[in-house]
Amino acid sequence: MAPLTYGYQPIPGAYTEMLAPQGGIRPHWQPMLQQLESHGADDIEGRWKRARQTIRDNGVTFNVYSEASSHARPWELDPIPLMLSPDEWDFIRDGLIQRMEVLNRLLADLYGPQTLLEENIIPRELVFANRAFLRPCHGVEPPQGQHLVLHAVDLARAPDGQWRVVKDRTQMPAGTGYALENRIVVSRTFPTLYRDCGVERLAPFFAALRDQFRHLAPPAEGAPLIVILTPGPSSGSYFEHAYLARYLGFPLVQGSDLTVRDNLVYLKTLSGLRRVHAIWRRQADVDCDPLEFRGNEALGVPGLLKAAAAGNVAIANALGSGAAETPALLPFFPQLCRHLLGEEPLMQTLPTRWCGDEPAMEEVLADLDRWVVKRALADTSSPPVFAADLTPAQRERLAEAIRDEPGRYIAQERTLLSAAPCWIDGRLQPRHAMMRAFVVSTRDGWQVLPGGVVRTAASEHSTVVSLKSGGGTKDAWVLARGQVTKFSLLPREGTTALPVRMEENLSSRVADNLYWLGRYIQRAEYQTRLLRTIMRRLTEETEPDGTPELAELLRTLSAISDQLPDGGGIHAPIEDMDRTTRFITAVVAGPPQPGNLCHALGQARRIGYLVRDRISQDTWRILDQLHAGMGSPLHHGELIALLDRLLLPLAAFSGMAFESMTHGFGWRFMDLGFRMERTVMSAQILRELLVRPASYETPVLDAVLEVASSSITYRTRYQSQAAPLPLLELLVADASNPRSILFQLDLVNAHIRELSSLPRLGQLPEQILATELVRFVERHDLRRTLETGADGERTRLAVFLQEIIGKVRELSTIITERYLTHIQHASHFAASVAGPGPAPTEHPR
Amino acid sequence: MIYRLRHKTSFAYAQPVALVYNLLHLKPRQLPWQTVHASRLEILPRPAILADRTDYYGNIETYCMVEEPHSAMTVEIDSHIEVRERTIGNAAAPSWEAVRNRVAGDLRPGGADASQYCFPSAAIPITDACRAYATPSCAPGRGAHDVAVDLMRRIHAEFTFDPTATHVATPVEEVLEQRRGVCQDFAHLMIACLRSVGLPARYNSGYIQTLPPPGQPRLAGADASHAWVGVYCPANGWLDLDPTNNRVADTQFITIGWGRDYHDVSPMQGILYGGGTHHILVEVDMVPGTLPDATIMQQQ
Repeated sequence: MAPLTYGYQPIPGAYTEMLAPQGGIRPHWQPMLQQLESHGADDIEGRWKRARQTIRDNGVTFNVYSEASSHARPWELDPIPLMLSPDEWDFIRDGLIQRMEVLNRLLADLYGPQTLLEENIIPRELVFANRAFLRPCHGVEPPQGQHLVLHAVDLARAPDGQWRVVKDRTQMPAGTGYALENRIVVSRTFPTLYRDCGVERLAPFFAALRDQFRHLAPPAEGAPLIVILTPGPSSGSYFEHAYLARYLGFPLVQGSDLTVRDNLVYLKTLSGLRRVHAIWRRQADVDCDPLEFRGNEALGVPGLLKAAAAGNVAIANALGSGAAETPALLPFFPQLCRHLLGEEPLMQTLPTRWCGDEPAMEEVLADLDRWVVKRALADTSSPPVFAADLTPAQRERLAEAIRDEPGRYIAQERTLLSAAPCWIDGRLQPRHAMMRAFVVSTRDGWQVLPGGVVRTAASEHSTVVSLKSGGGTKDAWVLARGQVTKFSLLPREGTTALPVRMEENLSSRVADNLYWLGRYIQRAEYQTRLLRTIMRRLTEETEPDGTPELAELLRTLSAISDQLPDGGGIHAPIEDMDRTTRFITAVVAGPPQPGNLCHALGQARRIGYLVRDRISQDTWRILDQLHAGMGSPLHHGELIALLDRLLLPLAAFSGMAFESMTHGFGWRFMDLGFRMERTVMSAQILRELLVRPASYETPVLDAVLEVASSSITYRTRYQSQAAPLPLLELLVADASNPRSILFQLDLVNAHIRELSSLPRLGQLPEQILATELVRFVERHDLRRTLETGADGERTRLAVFLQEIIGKVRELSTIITERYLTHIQHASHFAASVAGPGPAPTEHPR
Repeated sequence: MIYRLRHKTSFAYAQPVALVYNLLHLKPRQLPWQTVHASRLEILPRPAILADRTDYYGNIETYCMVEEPHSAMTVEIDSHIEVRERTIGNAAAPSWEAVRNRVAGDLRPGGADASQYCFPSAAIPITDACRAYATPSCAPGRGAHDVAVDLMRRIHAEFTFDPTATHVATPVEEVLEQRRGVCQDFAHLMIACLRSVGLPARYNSGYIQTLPPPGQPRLAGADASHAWVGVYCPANGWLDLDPTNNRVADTQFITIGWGRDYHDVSPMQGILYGGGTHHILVEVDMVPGTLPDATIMQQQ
C-alpha cells in the first residue's frame, strides 16, 4: 500500500504546510499522518462519505448570499485537519492577544478622550469619515472597559512561513460555531486518531466565553439571563447562531423579542417580561438600535444603547466596535501598538497601504499588479479586486478611481497563501488556505481558541480563498504540550431536552412558530394520507366495477388543499387521467400556494429553521427530509413512492416531538397547533364525504377510514363492512381513538388549562370555550346527524361539523391574541400588527 | 437681548401609539454669547423616562420614552435666553486653500473637532454638482471667510424660498437642481459646497427673530425653527452664516446646537409603535422679554 503522501506535489512558491523544504514530513504532522495511514484510503473515504451525510443531515449551512434557505449551501468540510505545532501556536496566540488588547484600547480612546485624533497618531479621516464610528456610542463605557469580548483575525501564511494578519473582525466575529461543528464532525469520524494525537480541546474556550458573559452582566437575582441576538435566517451565519444558542444554553432572540423599559432590557416571554442581563449580538452595530442609528428598524431594539449606557445590560462586542475593523487602520497598527501598549507588534500585518496617504498611493499605482485593492472604510461591502487579473482597460479605470478618491481605498500585497493537504478524490492534494482565529477576553486575561476555521481554495490553481467561489473549510489541530484537558459542554448524544431555564424564557415569537409548525405538519400529514388513498385507487384495480368514490375524493382534495384542477372539477378521473395526475402533482410538488401540500411542507421546514435552537438535531433532520425532492415534476410511479416516503417522517416527527421535547409550554403550543389542525382536517373530510351520501357509500366510507388511518381499528372492532354510524362514533366521539375528534379536543382542553397556569391569568374565555367544545361533541346525538332531509342531504351533520370547525378557529384566534401577538411585526396571521416606524419629525424653515 | 422662547409641537394620530422613544434637541445650549436662564420642558402624556445628556457635539439631548398608550402628544419647551454680541476675529484670515490643507492635521485645541466637519455625512453627500456650484466663489488665494460669505450671498440671490418645494428629507442635489427650498435645504447645500472644497462646515439648529410686516400686528405662534451654517477657519474659529437671509448670525439668532447635518440635531426624532397616519402642529413664539421671575427659575 502506497503511503498517503505518495505523489503529493507541493504548489511551487507557496509554503507547504505538511512537508519540510527538504521533502520530509514536518514533525508535527507525523503522528496524525501515521494514524491516518493505518486506516487506509478506502476506510478514510468510507468514513468521510458518512461524515458528509451527517453534515447535510444536520443542516449545517453557510448562507453566502444572505437569502433565506434557498441559496444556503451545505458546509464544505475537509477531513484532514491543519496541524499546528505548540511553538507555532504560542506565537499565534501571543500575537492575537496583543492585537485584541491594542484594538480594545483603540476603541476606548475613540469612544473616550480621542487623544489618538488630537495628536494625529492615526489619520482623522479614518474615524470621522467612517460610518462605522458611531458618535452616539461616545462616552458609553462597556462593562469592565471591554469593548471587545470576542475578537477574530484572518491569518495567511506567507511563503516565508510567517503568519500574517489580513483582517480584523471586531463587530460580530463569525465562525466559532463552525469551528466547533467542524471539530465535532472530524473527531467523530476519526475518534482514535483524534484521541491519540493529543489535540488541544475547544470546549474550555467556550466555557471561558460563557463565564465572561456571566462576569460582565450586571448583578442579577439568581443566574443572569444571557441571550444571543440574531437578525434571523436572513443572516449568512444563522446556522451558527442557532447552533451556539443550543450549545451554550443562551436563548436565541430577535430584536422584536426584546423591549427596553425604564432603561432595562427585557425578553418578551409568554409569562411576561424577563430581564435580560447580557446580549451576545450577532447583528451589525447600526441595526441594533433604530433610535440612535439609522439601520434596519425591524431588527433593532429602540433604547438599547441607553440601557447599555446606564450599565444595565452588557452587550458584546460593544456597540460601535465595528470601527476597529476598518481596513484602512491595518497599516497603522504598529503605531497604535507602540502608542497604546508601548510594545512592538508580535505578528506582522500583510503589507497594506492606505491610498489616502499620498506617497502610499503613488507606491501602489506605480506597481498596481502587486496589490489587491479593497475599500478603506467599512461603509460598503464590495469584493477585493486583484489588480493583476484585470484587463488593461479595467486596470486603468481602477487607477483612476483610486486617484479620484484615494481615501476610499487600501491596497494589500498579494501573497501566495500556504498550501494545506486536502482529501480530494481519494487522495491528498494541496490547496491554498487561510485561517480565522479567535480570542475571548476573560476575567483576568484572554483565552485563544486553540484551532479555528481554515478556509481552502476551490481548486489547485485557485489562489483565492472564499466560500462564495466554492472553497471549503477545515479544522485546525493544535498539538498539546502536555496532557489534554478533557472537558465538553456538549449535551450527550440523544439528550436533547430543553433546560428548564430555556422553557421559562419562551418568547411569544418562538411559541407562535411552534404552534404553526404543529399546524403545518398535521395539515401535511392529512393531505398526504388523502393523496395516497387516491393514488392507490388510481393505480390498483381494487374493485371490478371501478372506483366510483374517486371523483368524490378528488373533490375533497380540492376542498382541503384549496386548489382547483385546471379546467374545474374532475368527474371521470380514470378516463381523464392526464388532468387527474396533473392536479395531484400540482398539490404535491407545487408551485406552493396556501393550502396545498407543497406549501405546508415548505412552511414546516421554514418555521423549523426559525426555531432550530428549540428542536433537536433529529427532529430537524426529519423536517429537512420532508422538503427534499419537492418542487420537481413527477411521474406517476414517483408520486406514489414520494407519498409513501413522506408519511413516515411525518409520523416520525410527531413521535420525536412527543418523546424528545420536554412537555413544557413550547411543546404545548406545538401540540395545540397539531391537535387543532387535526380536528379541522377530520371535520372537513367527514363533511366533504358524508353529508351527501351516494348510493355507493361503502367504498367512500372505506376511503374515509383509510385517510383517518382507522381501517384496522374499525375492522377489529365491528367485524363488518363500513357503515355510517359506527364510523362516526369511531372518528368523532370515541375518546380512546387517537384519531378521533374528541381525542384531539380533550388534549386541546388540557393544554389550555396548563397554559392558563401562566402568571396573571384567571379563568379565561378559551378555557370555557375548550370545555364547552368537548361537551358539545361528547353529548351530541350522532344517530340524528345521519338523518337525511328532503334533498337527500345530512344537513344536521353538516351543521354539527361546521360548528366544530368554527369553534376551533375561534379558539385559535383567542389563543393567538392572548399569547402570540405581543410580537410587533407581521406574523403568519393575515392581520399584521403595525411594526415600529420612525416617529414624525419637523421640517425647520 | 433677552428672549422668551416657546416651541410647542402637537402630534395627533389616527390610531393609538403604544410606545414611543424620542430623542429631542430642544434645549438651547450655553455658549459664550448665549445664556439660558431657564428652560422648562413639558411632555404629555407624561414620559416614563425623561433624561438629559450632553451629546457628541456638546448639545443637550433629551431622551424621552412614553409607555402610556395615547393618540395625541404634546411637547412644549419654554425658555428664557439672553443673547449677546459675538466677538469674531477677522485679522489676517488665511486663504481657503490654506485652511483646506491645514485642517486635517491641525493640532491646536478644537482642530481635531473641526476636522470632522470636512467629510460627507448622512444627509450631505459631496458631489461634483456641489463642487461645480462652489467653484465661482473660490478664487485662488481668497480668504476662507470671504469664500463662505460669497457662497451665502449667491445662494440667497439665486435660490427661492419656497416651503412647498421640499420636505424634511429632500436630497441636496434636488435642491440644487430646482433652486428652491427652505432654510434646512439652503444650509445643507451651503455645507455641501464648503466641504466639497475642503472647508469644515457644520449645521446649526435654532431660531431667528422674525418681525411682522410694517403696520401689522405680530401673529402668535408664527415663528419657526431655523437652520444656518457654521464655517471654521483655524485662526478665527467658527463664523455663523445664514444663507436663507444672507446675514451673519447676530443677537437675533438663538442657537439650540449643531452637528454635521440635520440628523445630528433634529428637534425630535424617534421610533414609535402604532400610530398610523398623523398630523403635526408646530407653534413657535420668539419674543423679546425680561428675565424670568423667581418661580420659573426655581422650576428649572
